[in-house]
Amino acid sequence: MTPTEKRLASGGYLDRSQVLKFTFDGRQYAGFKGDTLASALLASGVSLVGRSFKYHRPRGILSAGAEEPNALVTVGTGARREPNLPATMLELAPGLDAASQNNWPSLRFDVQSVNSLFSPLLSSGFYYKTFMGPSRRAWMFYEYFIRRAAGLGKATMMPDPDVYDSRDDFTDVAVVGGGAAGLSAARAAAQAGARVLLIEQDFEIGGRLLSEPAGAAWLQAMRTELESMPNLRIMRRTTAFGLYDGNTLALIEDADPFAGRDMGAARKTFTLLHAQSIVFATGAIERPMVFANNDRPGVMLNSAIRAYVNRYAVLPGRNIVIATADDSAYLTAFDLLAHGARVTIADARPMAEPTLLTRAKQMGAEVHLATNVANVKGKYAVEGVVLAGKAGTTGVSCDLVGMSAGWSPVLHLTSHQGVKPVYRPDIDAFVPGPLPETQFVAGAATGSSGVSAAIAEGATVGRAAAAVAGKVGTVAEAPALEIEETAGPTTVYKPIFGQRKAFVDFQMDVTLDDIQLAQREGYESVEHLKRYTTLGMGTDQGKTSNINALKAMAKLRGISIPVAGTTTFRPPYTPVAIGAVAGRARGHHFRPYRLTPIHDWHTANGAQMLEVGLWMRPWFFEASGKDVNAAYVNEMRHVRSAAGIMDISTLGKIDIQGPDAATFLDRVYANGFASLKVGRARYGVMLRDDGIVFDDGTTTRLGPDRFFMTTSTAKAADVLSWLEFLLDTAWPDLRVSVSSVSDEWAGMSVAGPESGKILAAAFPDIGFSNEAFPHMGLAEGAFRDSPLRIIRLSYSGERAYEIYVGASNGEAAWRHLIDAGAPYGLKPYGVEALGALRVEKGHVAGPEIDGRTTLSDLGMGRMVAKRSGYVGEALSRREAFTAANRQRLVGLKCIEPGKRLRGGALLFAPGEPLEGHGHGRMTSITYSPELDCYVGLGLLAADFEGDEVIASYPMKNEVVRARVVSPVFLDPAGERMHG
Amino acid sequence: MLRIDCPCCGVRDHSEFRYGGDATAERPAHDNPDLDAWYRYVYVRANPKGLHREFWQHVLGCRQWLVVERDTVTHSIHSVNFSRRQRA
Amino acid sequence: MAETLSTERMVLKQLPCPLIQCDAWAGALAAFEPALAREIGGPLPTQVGEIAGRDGLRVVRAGPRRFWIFPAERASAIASGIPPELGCRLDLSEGRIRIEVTSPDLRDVVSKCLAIDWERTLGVATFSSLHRIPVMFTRSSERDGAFVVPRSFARSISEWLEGCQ
Repeated sequence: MTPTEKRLASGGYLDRSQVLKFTFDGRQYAGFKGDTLASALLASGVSLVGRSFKYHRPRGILSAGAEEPNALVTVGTGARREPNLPATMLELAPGLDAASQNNWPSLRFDVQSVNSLFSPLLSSGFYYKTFMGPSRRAWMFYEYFIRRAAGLGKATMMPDPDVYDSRDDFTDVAVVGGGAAGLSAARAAAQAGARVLLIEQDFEIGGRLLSEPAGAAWLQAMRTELESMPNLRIMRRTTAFGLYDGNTLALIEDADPFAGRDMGAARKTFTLLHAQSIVFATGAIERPMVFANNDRPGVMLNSAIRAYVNRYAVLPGRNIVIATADDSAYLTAFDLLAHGARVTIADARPMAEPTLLTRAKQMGAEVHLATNVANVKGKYAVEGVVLAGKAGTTGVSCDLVGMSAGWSPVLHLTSHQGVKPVYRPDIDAFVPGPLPETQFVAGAATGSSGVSAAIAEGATVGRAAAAVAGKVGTVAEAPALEIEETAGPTTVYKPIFGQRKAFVDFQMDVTLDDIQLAQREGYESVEHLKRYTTLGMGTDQGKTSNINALKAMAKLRGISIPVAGTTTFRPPYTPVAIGAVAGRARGHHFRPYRLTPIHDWHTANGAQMLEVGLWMRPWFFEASGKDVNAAYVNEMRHVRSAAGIMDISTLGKIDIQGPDAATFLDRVYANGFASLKVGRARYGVMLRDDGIVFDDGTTTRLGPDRFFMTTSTAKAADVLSWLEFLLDTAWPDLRVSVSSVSDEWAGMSVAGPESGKILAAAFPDIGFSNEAFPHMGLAEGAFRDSPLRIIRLSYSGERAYEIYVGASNGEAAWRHLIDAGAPYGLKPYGVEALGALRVEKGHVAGPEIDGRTTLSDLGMGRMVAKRSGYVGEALSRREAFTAANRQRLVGLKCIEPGKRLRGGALLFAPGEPLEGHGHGRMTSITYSPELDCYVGLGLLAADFEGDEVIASYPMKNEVVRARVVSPVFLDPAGERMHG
Repeated sequence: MLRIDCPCCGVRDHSEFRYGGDATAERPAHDNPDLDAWYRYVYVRANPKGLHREFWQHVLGCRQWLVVERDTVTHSIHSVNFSRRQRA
Repeated sequence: MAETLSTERMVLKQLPCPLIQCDAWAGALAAFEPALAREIGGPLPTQVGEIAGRDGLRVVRAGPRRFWIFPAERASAIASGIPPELGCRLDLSEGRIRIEVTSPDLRDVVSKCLAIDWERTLGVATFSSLHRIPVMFTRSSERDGAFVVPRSFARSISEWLEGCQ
């Protein structure tokens, strides 16, 4: 089939040498490069393109832009199926496969269009009133069917196979909108010397000039000039959908379908554009009129008809009624007349500009003044209208109806930062309110009409916007454009009540009756009206409906339009693919990952890895057991009976040096550090200012003025920032430097009774006897060309050493230890066993240091008994922290054979009902091979009486008895680690 | 998307910074045992409408702690200074 | 130990990154700066991000009182003579990886990594955030750039950069 039916023989911004085949609802059509799906469908004689949201009424194409409420289609199939795309914005591309929405079994015969017969029932609030009335349960039953019946297109449930990019961009001046005003502003700003980025949502720049045959030459000259400017970039197919703080614009760009996208190239690109100044040249959107059956296919905006005729060379009808409250519609009528169409003008105003009237009549149009369209005949296509004027009603047959009720400046972006729109009665429109001094607006977006005004305003604000960025070069006058313009105020168009099926919001199927009902029921404010009727809540966000709705409400309430006010504009201006915002940060790269220097050894030696924060850590080693539960117990046994080696490179490590370093640490840690001897390590606990425990770790004194601090893996970044905060804000007089060396050092811990022998074998130059190297001692040396620090510390309760080696030799040192330890049975172990070993030993960690516990709660109150002057001291002594029911650290031992404990279980007294939060909770648990039962740590109210608790885990309906014991389950005297 | 003009790195996105709370609260000396002074410092906040001084650290840049004067109504930033005098 | 990845439009190298950090004490900067300048035998950068250098040694001001010295090879002697009453020195030569990227699309790649104005990055060191990781970015031309990144993130960032082509 050739695209001939309604296509004009010449004209338009089309490349007629490129015929593009596409599919709509399974049928093949063809259009040209330069078409949208909408224009190509119209050219092919297709005017019915969808069914409405609620009543399943047949719908056609209303507009030629982003405001389209009706012609929403689904594009693509399978994983690439994308619903609710306005056909008016879809650039026709080879092989485009589109389908209509919300119809079954077919667009022409839609079973649910019987909804339409019940439309008196389906008014605002109907579902809620009817189905929620009896009970909540009833609503839950009906909701499924109701939601199935109403709706738009269906999104795919498959993972998105496409790639998206997310990026940042910078410019001096951002110009939003590539119509006459925007082009002129961009040119002026660039000539002044600013870096300019021009953003156009269409694939063609020009805006409404593309609908002006007389503007073609000017547009061509302008495009050539702008494209030759080195400091000006144009982003086409790009929508600025949100304005954020700091003159940041959020942009979404569609890939050029003709660019031949490489594998892996982005389908859409999200850009955060940081601009010094912004020019909003966003134009205006024409408003529909509200009359009975104004939603029938073939009822269009007059500006859209003009765009289809002039830009796309499509004559969508031959016998046309143009309804208007505005002069600009006459230009549409003239273009239609020039192409031989029969035109009847119904002008709602008592009088129009005489020259326009004369010309319309000369060209053969019939003009009716003070006349409105009262009804539309035809279901799937317009067959005629009923005109109502002073002399009564007349039937007029036609195949297309145009309508215009004035223009709404596009002020969404300027409103996103809270600038309230201002109503101008002279043009019957809201315009942007006063903007910050780095933001400007020009052209139709200001409410001004006419191309000349737009060009002049653009040039002025373009210059001003460049000046914000300090660019004040000479700007040559823009080329003049001789064009026919209509100007002057229009009357205030107000919807006439009493008309049935007169749609205000086409997409959400909201009629004048619905607005009346909402008002009757008390939903009078525009914000309530919106939520009660769903007006403006569709994917088009009410671009064509909001002003008509608030005018209707103002009329019903007898208040003025500015008093009625607008609803709040929020981003996004048009729907945004969420994948584009994520960009490449998904799947494996959802967040960055961190690897220790020993990572490759782990993966090559059977480690099952676990994400711990950003780190990848060995969870357990396959050689230890078939699954984690078997493996960790074996790894624990092995550490306690021979020796294990663990990668602890993830610990936070901080280098602290300076003449006041000891003083600093003495204040930062709750327990004292000034007395720590050079060459010795000490366990330390930090509090927050509010007296709660912040983090713990060990710090080793390397020299009089130098310390090596370790922090928990999770708090490493927080601790460093906290130390810097104290130095920068609280104690700037202390001469101390703190730096993260977490990446600098590989860390490994060798623990177990054989650990001393293994270390001695690995590092023969260092003495490992208890006398030469006691618990909490330090030895320094070198391993290959990297520094080496060995600290005798124990987390597991066994004799143990932490070995730190410069990261570049980390894996080599690990291998060296594995080799040296082989005769002693040294085996690697993972974080599951590490966590279990510390529970058995009663060491607290993240689950206990949970941001709510104090030193006393954790059984460490004695550490600070005689100290003062440390961070958190004063508030740690507050009364509430000594309350009798304060939850304190306890050990819990499972006393029911064959049962287990679970972290998070609530603790109750025996015989007590298992309700509420209990007296405390289990924080960490493990199976203890030493005790052959589950043991755990918990926080239990200090005034709890008795030595037995019931641990309740409602998630799994588990209830188990446990005995309250000391948290140190083995070796309370610490003989193993000292021995 | 606050844009914070770090005194040594230039204008950057707030995502490079770490928020540090109210910079108007006066921190008692480290050895001040007065519970009430610490209570006021930690918990009592004015929550002003309009200009407010707050700490931000340029943690993904120069790591300096800054005092940012921000309008809590408009989010506009009026001044940014190092929390300590640098070249004293 | 350089790891190199080459594709049609990108060459990506991971290299060791010898680095000495020097900090001045607050109040001692005026005396510290000439002392450090003597140690390295050349003038210091005055602004944060500025790069000064002489053969085989580049000095970047990383903060108001912090300098990063990048020697060509690991060298324990550099800045070892700073008087402890003026400031301190820290060898950070093993904690970072230098990822060099050469690509005609470098500008495009960087726009997907850093929220930094490309036109202000030539010849200076930019401390910024890549995927919320602290990095230092430098470039010597339209197509040659380098990221100094924490060692533990080097592989994640390299893969990210490859994906940004």
